[in-house]
Amino acid sequence: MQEPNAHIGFVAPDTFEKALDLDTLLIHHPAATFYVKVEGNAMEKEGILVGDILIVDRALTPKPQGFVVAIIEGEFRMQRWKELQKKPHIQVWGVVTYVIHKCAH
Amino acid sequence: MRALVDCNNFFVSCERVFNALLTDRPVVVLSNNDGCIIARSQEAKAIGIPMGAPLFQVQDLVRLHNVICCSSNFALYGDMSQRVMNILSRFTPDLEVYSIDEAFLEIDSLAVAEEIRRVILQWTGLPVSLGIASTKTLAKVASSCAKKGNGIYYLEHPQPILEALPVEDVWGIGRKTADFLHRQNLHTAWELASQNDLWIKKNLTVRGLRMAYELRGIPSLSLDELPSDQKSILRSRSFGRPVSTLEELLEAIAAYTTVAAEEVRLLGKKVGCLDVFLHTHPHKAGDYYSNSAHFTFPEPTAYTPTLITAAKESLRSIYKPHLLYKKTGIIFSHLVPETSFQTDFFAPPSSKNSPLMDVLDRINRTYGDKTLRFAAEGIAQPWKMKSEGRSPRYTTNWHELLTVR
Repeated sequence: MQEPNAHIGFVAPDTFEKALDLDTLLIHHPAATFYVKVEGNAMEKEGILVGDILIVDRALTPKPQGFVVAIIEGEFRMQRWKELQKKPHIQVWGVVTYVIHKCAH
Repeated sequence: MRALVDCNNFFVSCERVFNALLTDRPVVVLSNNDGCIIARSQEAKAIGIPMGAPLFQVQDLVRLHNVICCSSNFALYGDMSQRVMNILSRFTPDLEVYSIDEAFLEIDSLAVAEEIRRVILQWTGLPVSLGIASTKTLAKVASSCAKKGNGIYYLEHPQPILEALPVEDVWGIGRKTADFLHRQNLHTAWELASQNDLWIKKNLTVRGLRMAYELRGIPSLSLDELPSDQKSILRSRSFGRPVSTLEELLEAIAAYTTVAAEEVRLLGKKVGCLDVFLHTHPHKAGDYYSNSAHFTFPEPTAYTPTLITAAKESLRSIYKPHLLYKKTGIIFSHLVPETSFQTDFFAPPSSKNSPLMDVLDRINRTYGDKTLRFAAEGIAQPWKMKSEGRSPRYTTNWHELLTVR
């Protein structure tokens, strides 16, 4: 592979500004981060629509106002944590940190 | 203290992270082509399904107990393995990956062991157990105690455990050696460890002596000298100086692949899947980069050039320029015996020497390059494999993500 600057005769790695990389913005715990796709319209009111992709971080502790992916009766669901907190037999799978929504179809 | 971290029922546990209906049920994972059982949940073990059994032999048990059979999903297992190893490397730079689901590391307290277990379970959903002792061989012994108990076992005083451990259950003692030891009236690990050094060296070579030292609590084996486990073969090395160019990494990976391929043939096996991993120094300033790539062979192979081509393709797919790499390596997994190897979609499971393989080998030798390219094309053709019950590749394919309602 050709070094990008090889043709102008010098490479100074320290002076490289790295191009922005979405991973550095959206993913804080790579080993704990999973992507999950929204299939139902249960979250429509919240502006989360069918086809959106959730970034889920399992390393975080849920906050009442925040969204979680949880297992309810063997099914994966997305909910606000405060709405689930008091229900029995709820297992939090991960905390939703970002929602990716496609605008140009 | 040395700790051996082992993911419990690893393949089944990976499936369970993404499928809540598998919880508390007997679950097995089948080999490529859905032939043999290669992983079992605790519930499946309890009803007596043996490891490695061909599915047809246990069909009755499977029906009777409603056992869930998953086809293997090595893309998923490889990714989950990488996550576990990444988490472990946050705890210590002194990490030695031993197989797809096992690693050794140095820990200084039992509190750290608890924390490792908690973090891996929360972050990945995978349960792990830790065997802790003064040497790797003893940590392996502790690991089997940990699995029977509550997940963490510190083998502080090995003697009573070793006195009860049959010599054939010591890591690296094969049947032939065990038979020999029994004839010498040495039946337990403790009896073996108590022999004098000269006798052990004379009868079991230097390697046997090192093993005896390990049993006595004196660290004597490096990772390369450990007995190979049957599930996978790993070859990797940390670079003496950081490596940045793709060419150098490719050279290294080709070399590891060649050695590992020899080992596979020596064991009389073929490789179903390979994983290539690389990472930068985890404890130096700057961005940490770590990634792995997975490759499933359309047909298991032990042919070095094919393995090298696949390994190089995999490495290319994860290589990023301008980084200083500390380590790269290769894992061969889903090892199948050469003799029971089935050419699924071409021929019925038949003779030892499949004429097809002979032809393929001859073509390979004569037209190396072209055939190699043919094998590499397999990267994008996983559909050729028969795997009817394979779960989605949740973590490696955008079209197969976990879904929520």
